Amino acid sequence: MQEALKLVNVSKHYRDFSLNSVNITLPTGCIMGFIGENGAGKTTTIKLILDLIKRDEGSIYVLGKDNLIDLKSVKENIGVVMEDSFFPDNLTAKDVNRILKGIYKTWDEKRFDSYLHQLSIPVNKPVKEYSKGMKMKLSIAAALSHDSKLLILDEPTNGLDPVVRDEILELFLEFIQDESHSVFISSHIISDLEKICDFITFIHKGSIIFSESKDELLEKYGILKCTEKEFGRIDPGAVISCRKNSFGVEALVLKNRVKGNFVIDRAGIEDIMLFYTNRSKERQIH
Amino acid sequence: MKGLILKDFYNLSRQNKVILAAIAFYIVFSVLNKDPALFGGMLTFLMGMQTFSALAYDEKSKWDKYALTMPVSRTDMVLSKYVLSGILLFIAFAANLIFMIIAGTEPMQALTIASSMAGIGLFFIFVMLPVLFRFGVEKGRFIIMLIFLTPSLLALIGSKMGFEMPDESFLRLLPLICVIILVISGIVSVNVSLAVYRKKEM
Repeated sequence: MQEALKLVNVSKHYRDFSLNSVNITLPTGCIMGFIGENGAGKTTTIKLILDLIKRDEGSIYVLGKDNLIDLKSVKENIGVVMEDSFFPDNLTAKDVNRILKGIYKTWDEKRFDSYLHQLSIPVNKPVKEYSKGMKMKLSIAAALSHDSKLLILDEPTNGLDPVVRDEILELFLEFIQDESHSVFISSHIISDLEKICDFITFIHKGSIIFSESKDELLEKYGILKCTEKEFGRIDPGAVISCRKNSFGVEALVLKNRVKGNFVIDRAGIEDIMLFYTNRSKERQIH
Repeated sequence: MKGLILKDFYNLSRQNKVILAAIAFYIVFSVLNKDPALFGGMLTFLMGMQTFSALAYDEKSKWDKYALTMPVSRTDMVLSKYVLSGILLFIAFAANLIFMIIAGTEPMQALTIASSMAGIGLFFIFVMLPVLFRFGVEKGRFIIMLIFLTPSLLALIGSKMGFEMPDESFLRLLPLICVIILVISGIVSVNVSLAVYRKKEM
């Protein structure tokens, strides 16, 4: 199977927000980071993939199968971690094990126990006494303890300290060692995504702005710093958007379209996202 | 589905102490009133309310959204609540039957009373579940109170207006009529719940 996840022209319309013709392809064996501002449509997209909400247009294929046809059996192979869906408060990790054993055919009790141990999750404490990090780790342990081929993660490291985040990212990297495994992860913590992702998809106001290989993005773009006068000489087609400051101009540019001797710094994924958002705002004003 | 029902039992059993206290209270109350059927009625009602609590727990922890990311269909989510209710009411029925026989009630009569109560409890569940699936626990609570207040009010008004008792042939057919009503309401209830839940956006 070539694609772990494929969205084709997916749309969803609400009264004051629309997801417009979203196209995303995640090749098997890769990690895709899904970035965007709050309210851009990340969680809506993920909910559509999991059929938690109904789409208005388009098709979605999860692990090669149409998500409207027998999604229940495909979900055996999907591990999901969402930001605020947790286990009922007074359950313990031991209870969770027994419950999930009765839900997943491929539930691996030994693997779950070893994750609990590895992540220092107490076995007999009720979930309501867990810290936020522990709750997240429990969800992740559950997502990894059955035959998951695709992990779908909605802001799994939000609000966690750097030590725990690192622990969790290590788990994802371990997961992806198997070539048949794929990960789709949305996050605001772009530094995390830069560390582990192969692809980055950027969504803004319900539309996909770009969906490309991370390495290509980092290759393609750069941040140009120059005076206003020098900026006037640059091919406008090379510029995504610019910011004026007291020293001159800062612009996100396509490196290969800038002719001449200019200082072009490395653009990180966050920079690319910010400049693209800036461009969108400029276009709205005009 | 096994996992879903297990989760409900775990949630409800953490409330153990409160339930056991309530049961003890009703036993005492029943004995003091020399009315074994009273215990049965209260127990049936208590069990019915446990389903309500189970749904409330689910709502509080946003369980549904999470559960539907697992190999669980929306049909499973709905049917598991009916199965849960069935199990709880059966427990009430059995406990009620045993209690009445121990208290000296004649077995056939005890069976009749226990079955009637279980039947009423089941009817209550059949009305309650679609409402809760549609409106959630907060709004649903209010709507259910209205639904159950109405027949009580009508009965009160009816008794004040002096309606005559129905004749004997009708009374003889009553059990059959009740079973038919129960079966039909069960079928309608499950279908409405399924229809409502399938359209629900999480």
